Amino acid sequence: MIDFHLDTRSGVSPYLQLVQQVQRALRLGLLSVGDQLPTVKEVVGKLAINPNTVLKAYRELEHLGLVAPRPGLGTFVTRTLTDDSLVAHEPLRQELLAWLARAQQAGLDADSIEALFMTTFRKATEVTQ
Amino acid sequence: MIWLTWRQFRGQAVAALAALAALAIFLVALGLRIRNSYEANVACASCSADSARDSMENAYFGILLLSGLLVVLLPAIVGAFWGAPLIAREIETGTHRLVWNQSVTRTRWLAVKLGFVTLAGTVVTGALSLLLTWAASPYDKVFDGRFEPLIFPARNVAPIGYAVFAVVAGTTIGLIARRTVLAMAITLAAFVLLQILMPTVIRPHLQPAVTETVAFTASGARGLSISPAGEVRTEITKPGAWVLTPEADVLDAAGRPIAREVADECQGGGPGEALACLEAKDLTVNVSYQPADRYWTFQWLEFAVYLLLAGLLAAFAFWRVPRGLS
Amino acid sequence: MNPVLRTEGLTKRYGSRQALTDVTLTIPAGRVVGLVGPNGAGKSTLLNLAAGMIAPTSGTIQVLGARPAATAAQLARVGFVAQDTPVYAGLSVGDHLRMGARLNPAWDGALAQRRVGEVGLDPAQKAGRLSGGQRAQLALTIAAAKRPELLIFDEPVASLDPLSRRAFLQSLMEFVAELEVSVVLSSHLLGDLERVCDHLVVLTASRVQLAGEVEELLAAHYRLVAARGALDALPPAVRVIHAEHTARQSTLIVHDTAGAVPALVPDAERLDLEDMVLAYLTRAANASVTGNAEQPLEAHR
Repeated sequence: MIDFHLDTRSGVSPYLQLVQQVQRALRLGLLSVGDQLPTVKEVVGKLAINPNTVLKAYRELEHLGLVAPRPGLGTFVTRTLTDDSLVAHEPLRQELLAWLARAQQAGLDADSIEALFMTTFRKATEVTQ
Repeated sequence: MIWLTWRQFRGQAVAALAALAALAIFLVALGLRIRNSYEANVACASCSADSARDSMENAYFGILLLSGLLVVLLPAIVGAFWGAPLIAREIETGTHRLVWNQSVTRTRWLAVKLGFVTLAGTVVTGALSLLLTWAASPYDKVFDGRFEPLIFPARNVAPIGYAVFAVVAGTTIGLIARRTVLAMAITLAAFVLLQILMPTVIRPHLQPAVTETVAFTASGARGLSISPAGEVRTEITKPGAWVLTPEADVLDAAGRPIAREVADECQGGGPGEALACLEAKDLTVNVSYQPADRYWTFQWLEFAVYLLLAGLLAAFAFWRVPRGLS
Repeated sequence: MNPVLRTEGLTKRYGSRQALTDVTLTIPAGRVVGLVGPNGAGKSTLLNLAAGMIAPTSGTIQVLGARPAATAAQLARVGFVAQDTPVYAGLSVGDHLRMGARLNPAWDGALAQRRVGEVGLDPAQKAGRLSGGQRAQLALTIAAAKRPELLIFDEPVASLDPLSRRAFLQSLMEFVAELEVSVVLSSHLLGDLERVCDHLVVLTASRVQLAGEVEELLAAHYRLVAARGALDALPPAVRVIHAEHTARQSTLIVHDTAGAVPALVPDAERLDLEDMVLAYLTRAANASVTGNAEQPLEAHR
């Protein structure tokens, strides 16, 4: 069962964080087809967030075709993302390692690398949303 | 709601029951002693009335007075300790915001609480009043002071009326004052004030007094007194009745107050001779009184007056509480 | 669905002090509503009026379509926890649940018992001996176990430590998920409100400054940063809530009531809930200085 967490400072809306955490778990193989997502009550009981937020996230995941509700039983995973997963991502990972090496050589410390990556990443994802 | 009221009242009920039990035992014992004393000193064939009176008075006057005082004050205590905190404590501790949110209207909440506590106060006071009345009845028969200001309010149904009033007044004062200790103080003060006003200002006028002119007799009059201004007065006794003119002018046959010289003529010799001398002068006295057969009328009127006051206060409380606080 | 709360011109006066002035609000059902404002703004007054604890001076208020506390049936539909979570100090936890069972026809005893067990309350413990967090959990259980349609909380977590606060909000959200109940809660703690509220009411100096769905409000507020003087000619539909100026730069927080900003200022920033609310609270605090509630005090640096 996946364990959700909330980053209040990330600037990403809570429901989107939940969606992304499920997607990440699927990609990493932590969730497989047929696994049950935590109930709305379990999620809000841990995170102290509005149940509507969780419902919205689960509806979005359903819209993406990743999960489906079974009335009276819960919400279950219907599709994984590992098909286009680590194997396909290997080239990307290699490119990332090369870029990190170049950044270190350029004299950036860990914090600067992270800051550079995060601002660029945010700007890029904002534009495409 | 009854469960909750009982649960909140439980501690006070236990204390009251214990005190009531102790007082009941005391009064029953007292009553039996008085009856024994009565049998021995008054009812026997060879008893002398005057010495019997004196011995009974010495033995029991004090204790009956104190017991009577307790019965009169008991409503005040009940009103202050049971009535005043009833609403005031809830408001002071904020629990009214808890209980007024339960699925019971404020009217019903007040009705159950007030009814319960009034009933409890009435039962306690009524029990003690009736026990004291029973215990003191031989003594009261001998001393015939039923209408006296310290005895009338401590017998029969009058204290029950006081209890109803005190509890309702305490509750209503608590509703207005919103602080328990303040409400208790005001309730006690109001009760005492009313108990002072009642015998002096209100009770005598509850029924129109009977006014008669009676002849001055040695047996009917008790002594003679001369005021500084030279007026001759006497105290008329009427068995069982409530005499409203304790010091009445002594009048001559024509209805005019006699001069002190007339009274002085009869001076000298013992009190019995002086009174016989005065009796021979055909003097009269105007006396206002409430006849003895009106005793129970007055008891029920007293009860009714206090019940009426309680009703007015309760009506105010039932009007105010559903509106919520200020 | 009917609104859970509707007020029109609601006003409450205590002697010469104005607690609420002309409050007109409609709060829809199925939301967790945050009521926020500084001390003395009138939050407690509004919530106590909604719970029927006090009566208005003028104006009307309807809760779930009826006058607050008018009948036992109406009382059964609303759960209220007052400030400082009052409980009967001399009664035990179990006694409080018994009280709830006897005074509420729709009382769910199983739910209450389960909840009390889950939060670790001892039924025999006297309520006066409970900690603040435990009292809050007890009050929440009593209010929720009668299965109301609306729960009202007056600063339920104000005096709690962070752990108890989090526990309370977790419990509250579990109740919302389980009972599908609407909630109105007042709080100072904007971080908490941001987590749980989807509808917001900002109250300052006895008046409503802002009310609406959180998403819509956040979508209509912007932070505009520009050269000093460049933003002087904003249309009236774009209301300036807060302004800060340096010699070279102006930072404005604006409420765009007509959707005009994206055209005027394409790279305008959005705010988070905390910043948006703070702008209104700052404006109100400054208004008590300048005496004008609608005029933003311009801060110069």
